[in-house]
Amino acid sequence: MARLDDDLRRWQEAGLLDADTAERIRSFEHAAASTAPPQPKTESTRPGAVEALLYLGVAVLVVGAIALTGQQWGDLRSWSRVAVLAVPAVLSVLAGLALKRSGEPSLERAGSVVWMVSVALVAGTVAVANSEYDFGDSAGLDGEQTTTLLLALFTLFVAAAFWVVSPRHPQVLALGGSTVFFAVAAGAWPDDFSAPLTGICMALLAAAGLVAAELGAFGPKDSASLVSAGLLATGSYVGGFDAPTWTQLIVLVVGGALVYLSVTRDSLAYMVIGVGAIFVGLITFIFRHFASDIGAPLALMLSGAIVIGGVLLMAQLRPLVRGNRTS
Amino acid sequence: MRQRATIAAILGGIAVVFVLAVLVIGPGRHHPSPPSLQDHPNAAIQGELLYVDSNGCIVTTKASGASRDRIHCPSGPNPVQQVVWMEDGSIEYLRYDNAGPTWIRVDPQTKAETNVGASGGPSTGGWLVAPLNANDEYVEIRDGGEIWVGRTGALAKIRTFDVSDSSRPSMVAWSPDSQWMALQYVSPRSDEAEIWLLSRDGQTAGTLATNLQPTPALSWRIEGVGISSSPFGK
Repeated sequence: MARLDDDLRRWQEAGLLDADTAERIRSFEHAAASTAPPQPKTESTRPGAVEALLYLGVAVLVVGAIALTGQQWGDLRSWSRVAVLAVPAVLSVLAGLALKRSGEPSLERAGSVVWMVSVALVAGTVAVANSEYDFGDSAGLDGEQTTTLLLALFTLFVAAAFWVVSPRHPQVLALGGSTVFFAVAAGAWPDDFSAPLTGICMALLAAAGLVAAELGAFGPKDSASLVSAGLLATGSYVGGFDAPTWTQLIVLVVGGALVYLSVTRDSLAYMVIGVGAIFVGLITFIFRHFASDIGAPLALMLSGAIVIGGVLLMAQLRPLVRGNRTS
Repeated sequence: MRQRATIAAILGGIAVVFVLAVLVIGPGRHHPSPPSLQDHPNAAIQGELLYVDSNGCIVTTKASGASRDRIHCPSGPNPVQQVVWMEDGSIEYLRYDNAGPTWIRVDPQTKAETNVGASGGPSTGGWLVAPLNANDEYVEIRDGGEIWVGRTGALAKIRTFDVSDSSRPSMVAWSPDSQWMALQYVSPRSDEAEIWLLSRDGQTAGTLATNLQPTPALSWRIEGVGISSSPFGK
């Protein structure tokens, strides 16, 4: 408020405001400040250094456990291989539940991270169980690829269920990761790996996620829109591999749409992803179709021009985004 | 919570529809195997074949596909690398153990085994070279499952099988009368192999056997004509 008083004084001295107007502004701002909701405590809503170091320590511990298990993997029986993943999976689900019910913000955040790990552990458990006991063969499914596709679908459901119960950033990340797993499993289903199938699957789910995020139904908005836009751009790019030439241009259309969205929705993340998609898509297109004719040096020069164009485009569009934010 | 459940259901529904579409339409799946000779025997194909199934057992079958019999399952940890008909009607199989390559003779009637050491096996053939028929013709299998037959510089395409880029059939052996060829095909969805028989002109094809071990081990005999076997290291 002291800053406002200083500004009002300067503007009065400069003849921009009269005393009555300055007083009305001061009263309005005081009233607004007194009715505003109390600011949350910064220490409890944002992770601190201690919490970050704790996560790092747990990650190192888990990597060590994985390495140790890997060394003994060949000596383990089928049931113990499944148990090595299943027991931590069950424990992590329960631990996440307990942490989230603690009422302490830092522990609730930890619970979300634990549930994110749970999704990976569940995926690992079903994959190892299938590898050891060959569910697909007993169920009469046509090959290992079909089983993997169904297991990836199951993992996606698990990630979605965690997000429904706890819509936090780690759950959105887990949904993104399981979407990638599902899309890759879909691409691996044909006899030869199909990048277009992976791309279509990823882009389809990401587009649905992006629409939901923009409608406010998929959140938290920051991570949901970032993950959805990233997967949409990646899917449209991957979908152009080993596919007709026109499909390689879809990533440019998607990139353009994201840039447009960045301006209308005031999102710098959309712009970075959109411009990045256009940049990568164009360079790939040039090298794929023209490098053999014009040579690598000229293709590089063209790519450099595209980089400059991309940067200039971002520079031109950023004021628009800022303008929308302040208007 | 209800709104999130709805969104999750929509995303899950899209994924389920996608899976169903993939399973029903079957993009990128190839089914190149010709009709089964076991179900539809072809009397025009002469002789008897030996091969090794996925359990490591030696199987004999009529080339027409009319009948088959699992005649011997060798014991021991090392897989059978090759199996051949001998001139006297007995069977020898090859496997590698600590002493190196070892041929073992099997009496088809009593199943009794006799170790004949490294000097066993057929008196001719056996090297890892492209099999030639009696007219010095060989088979070349090109991308897209194209089967070309002929002499050097005069190859002609006789048939195309709808196979994926990563799995095409391979030539195993000519029939002793040079009228048919045995091809091995390993599906990308399975580690087990199939044996296809294809006529010299490419007009007739059939699947003689499925569930074979991936290592090609096959021998074909026609009474009064001769014996031909898949190539192998000696």
